[in-house]
Amino acid sequence: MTDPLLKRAGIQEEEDLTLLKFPKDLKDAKFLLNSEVAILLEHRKDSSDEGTEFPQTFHKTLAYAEKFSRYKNRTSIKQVRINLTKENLAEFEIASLANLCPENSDEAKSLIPSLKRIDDDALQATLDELSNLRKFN
Amino acid sequence: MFFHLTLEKDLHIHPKHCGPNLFSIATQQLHSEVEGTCSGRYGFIITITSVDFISKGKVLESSGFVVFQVRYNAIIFKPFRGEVLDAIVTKVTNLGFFAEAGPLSIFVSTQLIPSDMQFDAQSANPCFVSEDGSTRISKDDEVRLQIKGTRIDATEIFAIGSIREDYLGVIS
Amino acid sequence: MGRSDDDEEYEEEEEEVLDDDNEDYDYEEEEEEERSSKRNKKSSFFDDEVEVANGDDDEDDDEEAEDGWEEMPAEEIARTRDRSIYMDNNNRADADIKDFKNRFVKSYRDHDDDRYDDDEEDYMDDNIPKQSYWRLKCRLGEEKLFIASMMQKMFNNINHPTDKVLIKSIMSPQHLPGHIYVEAEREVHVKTAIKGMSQLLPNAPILTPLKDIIEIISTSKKNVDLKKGTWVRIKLGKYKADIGQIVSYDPSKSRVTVKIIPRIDFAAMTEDKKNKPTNTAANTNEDGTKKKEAPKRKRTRPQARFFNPDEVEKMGLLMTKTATTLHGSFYVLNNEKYKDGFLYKPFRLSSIIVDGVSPSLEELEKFQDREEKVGSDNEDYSRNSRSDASAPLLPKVVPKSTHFSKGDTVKVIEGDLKNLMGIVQTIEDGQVTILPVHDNFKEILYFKPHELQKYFKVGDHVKAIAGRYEGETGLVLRVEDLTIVLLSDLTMSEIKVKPQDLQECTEIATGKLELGNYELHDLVQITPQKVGVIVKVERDSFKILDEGSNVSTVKLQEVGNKRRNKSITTLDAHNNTVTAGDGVEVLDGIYRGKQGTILHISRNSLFIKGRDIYENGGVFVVRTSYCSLLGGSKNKLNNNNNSNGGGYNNNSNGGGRDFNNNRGGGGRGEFSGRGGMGGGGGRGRGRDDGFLHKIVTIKSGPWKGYTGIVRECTETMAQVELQTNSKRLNVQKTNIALPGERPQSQDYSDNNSLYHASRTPMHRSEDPSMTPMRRSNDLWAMRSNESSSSSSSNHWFDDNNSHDYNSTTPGTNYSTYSPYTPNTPSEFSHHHNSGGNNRQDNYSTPYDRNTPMNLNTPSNNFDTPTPGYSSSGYEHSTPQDIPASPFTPHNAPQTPATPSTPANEDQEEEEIEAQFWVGVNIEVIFREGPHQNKHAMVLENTTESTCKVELLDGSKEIVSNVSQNILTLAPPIKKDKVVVVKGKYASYTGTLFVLDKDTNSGIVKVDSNLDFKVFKMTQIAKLLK
Repeated sequence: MTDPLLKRAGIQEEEDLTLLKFPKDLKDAKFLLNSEVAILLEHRKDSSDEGTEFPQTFHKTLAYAEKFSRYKNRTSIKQVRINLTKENLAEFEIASLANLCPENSDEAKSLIPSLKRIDDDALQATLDELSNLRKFN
Repeated sequence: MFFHLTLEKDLHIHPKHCGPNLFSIATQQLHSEVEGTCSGRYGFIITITSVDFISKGKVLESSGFVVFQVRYNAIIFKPFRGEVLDAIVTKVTNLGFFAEAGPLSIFVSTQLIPSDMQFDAQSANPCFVSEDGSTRISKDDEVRLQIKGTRIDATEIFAIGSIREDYLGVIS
Repeated sequence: MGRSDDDEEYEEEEEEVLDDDNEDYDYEEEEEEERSSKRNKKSSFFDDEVEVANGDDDEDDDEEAEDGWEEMPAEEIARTRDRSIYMDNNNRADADIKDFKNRFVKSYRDHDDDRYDDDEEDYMDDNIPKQSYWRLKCRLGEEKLFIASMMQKMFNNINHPTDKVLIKSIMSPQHLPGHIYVEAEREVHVKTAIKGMSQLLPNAPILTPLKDIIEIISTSKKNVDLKKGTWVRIKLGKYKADIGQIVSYDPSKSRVTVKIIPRIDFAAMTEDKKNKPTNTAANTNEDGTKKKEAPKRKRTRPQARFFNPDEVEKMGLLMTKTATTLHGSFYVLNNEKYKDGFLYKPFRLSSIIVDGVSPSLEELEKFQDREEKVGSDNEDYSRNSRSDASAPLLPKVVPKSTHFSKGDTVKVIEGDLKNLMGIVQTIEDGQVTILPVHDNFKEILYFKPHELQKYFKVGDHVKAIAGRYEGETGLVLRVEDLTIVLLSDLTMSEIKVKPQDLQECTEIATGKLELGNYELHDLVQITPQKVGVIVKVERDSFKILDEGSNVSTVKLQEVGNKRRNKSITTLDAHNNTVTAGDGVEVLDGIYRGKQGTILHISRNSLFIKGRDIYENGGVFVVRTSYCSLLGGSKNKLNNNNNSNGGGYNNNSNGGGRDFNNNRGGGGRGEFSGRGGMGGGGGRGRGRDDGFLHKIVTIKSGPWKGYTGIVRECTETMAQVELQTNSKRLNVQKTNIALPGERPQSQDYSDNNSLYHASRTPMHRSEDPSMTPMRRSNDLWAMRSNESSSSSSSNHWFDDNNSHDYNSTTPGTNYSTYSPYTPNTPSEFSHHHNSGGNNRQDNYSTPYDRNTPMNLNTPSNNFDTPTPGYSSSGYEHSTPQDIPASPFTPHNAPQTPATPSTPANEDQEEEEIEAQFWVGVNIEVIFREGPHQNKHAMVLENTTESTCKVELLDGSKEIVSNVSQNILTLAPPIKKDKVVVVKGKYASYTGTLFVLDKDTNSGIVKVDSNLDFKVFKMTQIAKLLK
């Protein structure tokens, strides 16, 4: 949808997912899978003292991350990351793929436009791997 | 999309805390000041995962407060335009439906719902139903949507989403 | 072109042609370009013909190419003139032209051959034309006549050796009335040519530089900008102010065909049909009744509705269907053409407004809707209309260039580069430069504003910079051709805005907060039965949420009173008392689980502002029984209050009772939790509310002494319903007292020195009544040589005024007493010290004051400070006075004077003194004259200064015309019936209660209201019978 023609002229910081372009502020950001967020938040919750109050967003986020977490244990998450990284995918794509779990390359490309540069077959293979990881872990 | 980012902040500590527990108090204060907030620039700061660095404190002449520069890592959530994500429907109205993805509220207008889906006013719980009745969107359903735009101000982010594109809509 | 050499030859050649026909001449002129002749009668038709001719003739082309630099302006001139004059020529037969053409081409060729060589050299040498332009002035409105005459002259003198017209061309630009431009080589030529022309003003020709001429010519171009799809408004007639769209434009006729929503008066037409059965009209059927055009005499303007052929058929009106090559098929009714529901009507250029016309959204939608409808309903028509693509049904809106601003993303909507995107770089007069957003195309381009349209895409955050929703911001939900649907940030509702009214922005509008006397979140009356909360303030209306959760738009003028009911409390589901400003949670209903702060309470409904509600700016309505006060920590509530902003701070907390609780225990912590309106305000209200529904006595004013029930209070005012006649009065709270409570103690115990300080002005204004009185007493005392000392009279006053002892202070400020002015402050300080103390202090005050008075006015006898006087005064008065509020009634007579300004009062009192008395049945004593010392009764006041009296000496003799100067009012004694004979209370009757010889005043119990009032003895007279 994002029309590359229509980047805003200096009004706002540009972000363009089709080109994997993010605001400058976020250039060091490491994108996280929902599964990772779930684990991190859970950990944070467990490790804090009894009675620590968390803001509402924390609880909402935890609930959300858990609900949409596709990989339930650390090893599979690790595996996912390894698999996807070697495909020469950007962090954002990795996280998106792992979160959205598209079934075929067409869907993947539709959901994550920047994947258009990837060859269909290669992408499909990657997707299959991911789906296996989900099934068997 | 969630991400991990290193942020900095000036932390003002009341002089009464300048004692043996200064740093733990400072950390606590950092948590309470930062977690759960939302900045237009970064997004929702969900939680702090670690505090990297606390500078030497500097006493402010005027107030006696001590200022520390802190650097910390936080989990942040920010919606990007064009991003596809999953969300949970929280409310359905005739104008569209609201959904939440973690801390983010997303509104999906009827304009951005496929035109074959109509608002069903008769139903007990309001929902959108497709013409053939095969899909319906009602409260607590999971939907996959694309972020179309965000409204960002100092303390809040609001987004509008679309399910008009391929592969979007209710997650079965 | 340097044709000077050829000129004669040329002219001669022309002659051949010109002899035949004027138009020939024109034709030639055009052909020769540089002579944009004075005969303006060229038509575009001719232009076309010329081109054809040129095509036939290569040589001619060449020459033209050489002449090219001049070609443009000349053509321009020709065109301009065309429009104005063509019409006349229009009817000349085409045949003539053809005929002429053949001949001309021939002749031209001949000529051309001859001249070509010579000419070329000449031309090459000198690129600059030898012709110049001279400006002439002619009488307004006679420009065309003049040009025509010139042409005639030319023809007439074409063979004349000396008077031959040698100018090359002549023109009168339409936009410059009264100006004629003549092209010639020498001024002499011009002068010769215009010799004897009566239309000209006697100014000498003025040479005009060529560049000016270019300007003159090119300005006219603007007027020609009537493209298809341009919006226009009709100036006059049935369609006055209606919006229309240009379908075609005939520059030669100055006519445009406009597409417009018809206003057909069917009623009139059917009537016509009955009346005159047949009519022949070119395009309609023989039946004239069919014509839909409403006669102009019709007073009512027919409604604008789309033309519906079926409907017309049903009405039995006849219409025909015709097809034209240009615009497809039309229905013709009454000589008017209809298509797709629109009327296609030719208008004169002068009867339409073109400039600055921009259709409203509604109008646009009407046009657009029709288009869609036609598309779907009526295949037949739509096909036609498709074929008629030359007139786009979806018109372009011509945006003003000011609508663009730097950085806007725009899309080209016209021309070769249509659909190109760009970013606006600069905006100048009528020109917008954009940087195209295109991979291979990075040059800056220039466009006219109307060729561009702002471009937004879904998800953009934009702000409306004009139109109804001006100032609102929102996210783009949908982009249509003419409208953009926004999701308003403010209301979370969808609004439609025209693209040119939008601008990208990042800020978020908070919306207007007030309009008229109303603010956002005010509770207002909508109808007598309905109240609602303003949830949004628009440009001239409000969105109001009523108790039934309905949102309606109400115009400013229609909004009723504001309801101020912050003190209202109600019970929640758990019987907790809730009031505006409390935080509550909704337990049931669609808003279950939501929390919010109560904005208003109205009957059984709570208007709540919640944070996580999107509709109506977060305001929603729930029944009180669905809500529960957010429990436990009240402090949290207070925070809510504060965060709500001062406007919603609720200070009342349900009135006095609550207040006391708060103050006592600080139990609710309300006041500590609040800024601004905290303690002080709350306290004041607490006291004030103490009056509510209590019986009080009015302490001052015309209604002094009356009792009534307080029905309502505000911070400073109370509404008292009198017990006597149920009348409701608005009274200052400071002027009412609870019964059994001494007004003084009420005032003084409740109000500390601060209160006094603030009240000082009031005292002054309350008291002056006394001052003049005292003054007049003094005067009176002196004048009448009564023995009473002014000091004692002062005492008398002071005593009476004891509750308002300050009164004397202002008194000292009056001019006569100005020497005492310096005392005032000390007196105040005294009061301050004594604030909250007993009255003893108050008593002492006047005495203190007397001391300086003594010093300063030795002429008066002040040797008796006489506290005794006062007490004796009271001893004289009836005992009942003392324990109750003795001073209050005493004050009464003065108080009524309070409202008027002191100065006036002063004068008035003096006047009274000079005035004659008025009254009958009063006892008088003759001071002199034959009846000296006799008592008499006044029977009649014959004039202002005389009266008729009856002697009371038993003779019953009636004396007429007695001057008041020889009469003295008989002094009444205690318990006498008296009547007031002077001043504003004249004719009041009463009983003299207390007589104070020292002050020469008496206290009268007035019959009418049993009130006590003090009058000077000069003002009252003994009433007989």
